[in-house]
Amino acid sequence: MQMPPTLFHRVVLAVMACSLIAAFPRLGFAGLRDLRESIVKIHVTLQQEDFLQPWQARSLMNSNGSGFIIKGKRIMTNAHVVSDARFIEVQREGDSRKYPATVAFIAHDCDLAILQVKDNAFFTDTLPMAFGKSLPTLNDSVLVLGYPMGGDRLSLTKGVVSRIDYSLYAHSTVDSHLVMQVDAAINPGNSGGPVLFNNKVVAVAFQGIMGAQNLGYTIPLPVIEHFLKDIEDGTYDGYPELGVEHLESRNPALRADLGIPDGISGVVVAYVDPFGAAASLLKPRDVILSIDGNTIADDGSVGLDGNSVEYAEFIERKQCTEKIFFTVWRDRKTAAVIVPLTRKPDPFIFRQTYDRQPEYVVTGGLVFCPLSRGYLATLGSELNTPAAQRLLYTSRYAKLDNLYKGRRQFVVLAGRLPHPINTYCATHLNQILASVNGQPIRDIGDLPAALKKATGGFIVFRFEGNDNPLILESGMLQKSDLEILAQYNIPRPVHIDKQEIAQ
Amino acid sequence: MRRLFAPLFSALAIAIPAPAQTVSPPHQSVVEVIVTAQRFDPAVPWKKSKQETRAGYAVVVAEGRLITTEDLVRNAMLVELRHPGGATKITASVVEADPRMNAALLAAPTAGLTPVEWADPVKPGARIQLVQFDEAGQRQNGEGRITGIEVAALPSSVHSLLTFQALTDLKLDRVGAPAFHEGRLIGLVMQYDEASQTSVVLPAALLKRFVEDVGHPPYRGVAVAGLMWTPLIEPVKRHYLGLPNDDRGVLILRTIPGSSASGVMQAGDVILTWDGTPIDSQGYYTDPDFGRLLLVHQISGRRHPGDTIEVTLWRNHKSETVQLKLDAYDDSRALIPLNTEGEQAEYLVEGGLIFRELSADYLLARGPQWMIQSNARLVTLYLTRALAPEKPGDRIVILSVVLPDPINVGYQEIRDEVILRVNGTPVANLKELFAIRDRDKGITRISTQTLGVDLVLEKTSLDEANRRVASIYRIPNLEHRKSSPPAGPHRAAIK
Repeated sequence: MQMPPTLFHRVVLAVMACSLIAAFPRLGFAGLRDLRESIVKIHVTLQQEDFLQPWQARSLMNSNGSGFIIKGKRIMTNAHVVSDARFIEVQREGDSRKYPATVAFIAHDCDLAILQVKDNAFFTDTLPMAFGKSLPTLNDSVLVLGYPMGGDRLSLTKGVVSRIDYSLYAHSTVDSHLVMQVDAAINPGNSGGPVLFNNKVVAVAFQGIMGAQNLGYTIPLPVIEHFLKDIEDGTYDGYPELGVEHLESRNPALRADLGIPDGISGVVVAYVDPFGAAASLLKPRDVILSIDGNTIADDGSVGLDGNSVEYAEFIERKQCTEKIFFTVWRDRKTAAVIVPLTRKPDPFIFRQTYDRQPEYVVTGGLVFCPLSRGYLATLGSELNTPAAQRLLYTSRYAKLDNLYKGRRQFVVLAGRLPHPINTYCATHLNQILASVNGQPIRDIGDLPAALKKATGGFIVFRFEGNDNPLILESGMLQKSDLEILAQYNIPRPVHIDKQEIAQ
Repeated sequence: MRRLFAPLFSALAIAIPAPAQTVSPPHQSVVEVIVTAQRFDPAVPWKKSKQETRAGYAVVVAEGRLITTEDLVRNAMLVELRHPGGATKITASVVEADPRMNAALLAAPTAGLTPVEWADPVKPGARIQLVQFDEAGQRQNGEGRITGIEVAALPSSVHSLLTFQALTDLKLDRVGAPAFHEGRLIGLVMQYDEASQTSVVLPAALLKRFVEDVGHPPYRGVAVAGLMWTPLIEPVKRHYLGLPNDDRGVLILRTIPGSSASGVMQAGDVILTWDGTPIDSQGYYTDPDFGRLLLVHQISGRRHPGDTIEVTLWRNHKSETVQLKLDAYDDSRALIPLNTEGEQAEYLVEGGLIFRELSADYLLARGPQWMIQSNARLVTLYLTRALAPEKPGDRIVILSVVLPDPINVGYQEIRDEVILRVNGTPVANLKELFAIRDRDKGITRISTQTLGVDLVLEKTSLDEANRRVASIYRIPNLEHRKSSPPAGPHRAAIK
């Protein structure tokens, strides 16, 4: 399920190592002694992408997080612990040796990852941690293990399950899944560490809310199981997206208008995402009555294991290859609709990306890049300006207002590297490119070819919603480009991800 | 109110002895203005915001007539005048107030006061005298100098006009403080910045025109051409347009549909001369009175609505002369009106759904971060199309918010949604919405831009729901329709 980011500032919990010394808490619990061996500290050297100067990465950073050994000689941790990593090492409790590790699977949408260690010596005398069979319930005591800031050795905190709910996963900034909130202290560095109930893993610690106290968020069993099942075939596909927005069907007049008989409940489809699995299968004005045989209440909830949950929870538990069976009320009668679950590549959801150099084209000192969440995040207070506001609008309404039609990306004039050729170009910063030399720019891949179509010695850039074109003299371009690339230390003027375009 | 002045000060102000000067400012022309104002709540159109009291100055311009700034009397419930230091307050009425000019003409008895004389245009560097009064009526004189003359944004509206910048030695604490040059009125202070000791002055040249225009009713306001232009400095772009690189001309980007310029000029035309004066590549001309000024002043400051002027354009690589009949600025022609702060917004509450037209005020009222805090679609419409309806009379009709009631269950979280059709009929503005409601005796089906399903209200329970909503939410009137301009102090001006 995808949601817009909330106002809460949720923070992922991997941080810089800290050299304060703290006493190691004795683990006196029976059975925990063995488990201690399975909880690993993860040392990461990372380099985040620089969305303003995409040809170079940002400064090197060191961070660390936690992880735990699961069966099959694998280490489970959070995706955010190892995102943008250049080098990863893992270290067992009480062992001074660090072993290089690599990412086998990474799921940015649910913030989980699996690491591998080549050197089998790392796994000597370790027992894989076992997962619980079901989630604890409210007020059950849980233990959180990991390597939070403030010390080098394993730390244990204890608390109770405070809440189980849907919530935003801060790592991708757009995905929401089930989370289990605990009141145990969870601090930076705890990320990726296991949460135990009766000595079995029931969750993975992953985020907190800035400024809040005793609110630790953990990724619960259903999400972990979904991830592990997804990677069984050797690739991570991600969560399927149904792509349906609904209205409650509580309003009597709305019910009468759709001819819904009394005693039948469900939700009214109000919008179908063109990139969702339900596209062309469900339609606005359909009333979804049941999902996989379970009746949907007027507010969209369904009874599941004795709890009332959003009907979307059924989709959350499915993999991309599965199907969902809906009963819908359509044209005043019931109909069965089978939706094969898919995850179509959706460039207009603007999920935060990792481990991928941002695409760009530099010409005449003008830096063009596709609109992305990473780029929007660099704007900061500039977002309160008209040009940037249009980017914000585009990122939120691309599909709803059909701005995406005929496009695969929105290409933005993201920067200007000052040079005499672009003296007067600053006024067009942060605007969305519509065409170059009359050629529509549907994605950044269109740009290099369009630049070559100069007519009359001019390159004419036109921007969305702006009647004022930007014009460069094509004769000067080649010489200027050489100067600019050398002066600003840009290794290549173009970086375009070919595979992305093929999709 | 986006006035930058500090609220009522002056209890602690220390009287500064007047410096010796040859011509003393004619303070017997100046009165204090005390305004009790109450605006309509920009979010809830039947509610009035908290009352506020403002103080400023007005200057007598003729027997029984005084001038002040429009932002001082905006939303005025009561305007009172007082002789500095005096106890007696005289009630004044607003003859005309134009937010586009930030000027207001008041009517009140002016016995014992003498009208000011208007100063001739001045050049930067001209010395000025300022006058204000402390609580006890003690006169405070200040000296200053005009440091700049330019077209700049007005402090309390989105429009730009000719303004003077003045450096002064007096800490000004109220709007409307008069500035004199050799004993004659040179302008009224609109804004004062304590850090730089700079004030922004509304020039007498504009005030004088305003007073004259009001004296010849009907008052039509400021002249406009209805076009958007951009500087044409880039040598490459000039070359592209086939223009000589001679630092002349600005590029027309768009003409506003239905305006004077539409049909006469078009996007891509270059303005070479305007009203007989060459226009440079940054849009400046040489004003006979004030020197180098933006083209804006040549339209709004030197011409009247209805005047016909001659414009030389560069079109298709050759120059061409066209005649342009200037129009009056009319806020009601905008897709999203800009100057609605001084009036009650039209609205309709039906089944708890609040329908209204999008206005600049509705968005800007959300504070300095309004662009981020308002609905992104509405903000983008405002930033890109506010003055340019596709056809005359178009507005953005929105479902602003839903007041929860049994009739609207299931719809209560919808807000700021653009309305396309009501009862199956397209609506271009609120007037059409009212007409549909009158025709059908109720609004029962609403089609929005986002939702693929219509919002439906039960017709048989609509009247009852309306009564219930009015009573529970204490809404005195479930609708407000604007009739012909009523007798309020502002309506006449706002058009």
